[in-house]
Amino acid sequence: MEIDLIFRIAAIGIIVAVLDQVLRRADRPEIATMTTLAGVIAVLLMMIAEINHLFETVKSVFGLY
Amino acid sequence: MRRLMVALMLLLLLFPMPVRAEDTELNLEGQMEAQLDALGADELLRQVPEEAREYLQEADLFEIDLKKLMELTPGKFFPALGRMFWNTVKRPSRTLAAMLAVILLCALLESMRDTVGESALSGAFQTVSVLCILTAVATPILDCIVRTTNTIQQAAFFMLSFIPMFSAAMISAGQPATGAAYNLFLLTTCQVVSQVVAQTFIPMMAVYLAFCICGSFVPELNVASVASGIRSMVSWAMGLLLTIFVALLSIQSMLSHGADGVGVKAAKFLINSLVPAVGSILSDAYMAAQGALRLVKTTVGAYGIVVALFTFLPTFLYVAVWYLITRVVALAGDIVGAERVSGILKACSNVLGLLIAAIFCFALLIIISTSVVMIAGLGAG
Amino acid sequence: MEVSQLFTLVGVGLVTMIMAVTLRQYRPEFALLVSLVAGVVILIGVVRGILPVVEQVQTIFQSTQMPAAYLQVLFKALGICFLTQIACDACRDAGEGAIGAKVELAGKVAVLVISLPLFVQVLTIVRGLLV
Repeated sequence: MEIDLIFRIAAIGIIVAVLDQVLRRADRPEIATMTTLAGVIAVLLMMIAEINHLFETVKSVFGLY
Repeated sequence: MRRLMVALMLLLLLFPMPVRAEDTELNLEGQMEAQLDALGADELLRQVPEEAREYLQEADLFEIDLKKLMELTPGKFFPALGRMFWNTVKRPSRTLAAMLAVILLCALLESMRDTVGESALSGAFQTVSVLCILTAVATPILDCIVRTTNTIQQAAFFMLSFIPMFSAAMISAGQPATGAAYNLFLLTTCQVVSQVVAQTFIPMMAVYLAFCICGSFVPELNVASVASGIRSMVSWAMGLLLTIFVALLSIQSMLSHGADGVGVKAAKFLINSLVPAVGSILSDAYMAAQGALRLVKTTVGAYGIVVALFTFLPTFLYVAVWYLITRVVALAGDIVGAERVSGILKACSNVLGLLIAAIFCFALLIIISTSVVMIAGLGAG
Repeated sequence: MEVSQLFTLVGVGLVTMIMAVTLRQYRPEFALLVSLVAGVVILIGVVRGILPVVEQVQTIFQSTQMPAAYLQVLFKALGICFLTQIACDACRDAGEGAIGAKVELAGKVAVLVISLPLFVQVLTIVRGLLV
């Protein structure tokens, strides 16, 4: 199953949160914002594949071609 | 004129029967057959409704035969009845399974929402499932309606030829005035009731069903009040009709009430609780019929009752099976929480329930009128 | 769906809930993403598990005289409702009720369009009743 995907996303989330805090303390708020955005976009890309998988499964089970 | 002569000859045979000794009984059958033929029994047999004909032939009862009717026991009915029952139940049970499956799918979707109250999407899906169930159930219901109408009209037609023939045999026994009066009264009542029920009540129930179908798509429109108004009007009118009939007969003091035995009380309770809409009135009418039914002895009269029974029984079984099915699926829909589906199914079962009440009503009518004419005749001899 | 699969899904749900709650204090948008992905994964497992039920229902339907087209309409409507419900719930969870309502509207319209032949059939039935 794709459970590791969830853990990966959670891990990215935690990393981004930590990085954000650190960068803010280091007086670089704009890099912090960019890191956050990069993390969100990466997670979104991963998610889109998963959502596509869901749609394919629903299509095949319910005959929605 | 010829008929009257023949009827007279028949009565000469029929009435002195208890007085004669046994040696004439063997001759009696042949003579009775001859007399019945002359009396127009052939034509009577031709009027027997289609459905009754099959089952009567199966139970070997088609000819008006004194001996066969005398040795009629319930045991002979049961194989034919059993087969009738199984044939009726087979196909509807598959539709029952399909409808329960649709309700299962509704339950699946219901479990997904997290708010109380109907979410719009489950409403949309329920509408689609209502459509599906309707396409499955509508043809049988229309079938029931058509069959009930046909059966009632056929039975009325049969009575048209049965009552005159029978009371012609009885009138000559010595009560021409009252005999003729009852003949006319019963004939007109039978025809009037059958016409009213078949042409007015049943189409009104169809309109009620159409209302409910349209109402299920737009729950906000609250068609339910109009629909239930139609339904209560129809059941009230049917009850009124039956009450008038029974009251008129009792006034003529033709029907004495039977003794309140345990069996009679049980039957009365059963009819009251099981028959929808007009149960109480029917149970009272049954009480009145009790006293009459005990006096059923003559061949032709008993034959008339047997025909009435076999005419109504298949249709009644068919409608009753579909009534039970719609009730069960409505219950399942209630349990799952699919209100639209259970609403439309309850409307369907209401229509079927009223059809059952109409069948019962008319069958009881026939049986009562037959017994009354018999009493009128026997009371004279 | 076997019981072991159920345990997996339950475990996934619990763990992601904790992660989402933790992340919400620091990066709320990630909490949202985590919960969304968890929902998607769980639902994939659920839909796979429903497959035998769907097949059984199909065999039941084939033995009655309902035309196969109606059955397909029913299943398609169920699938559409499923998907729309997922999206709608997710939007509402995120606080975007308006977007959720629009998605719901799209789903209802899709169900309506798909079930048009059924509507026509029922209208003929009603006409038959009124005659």
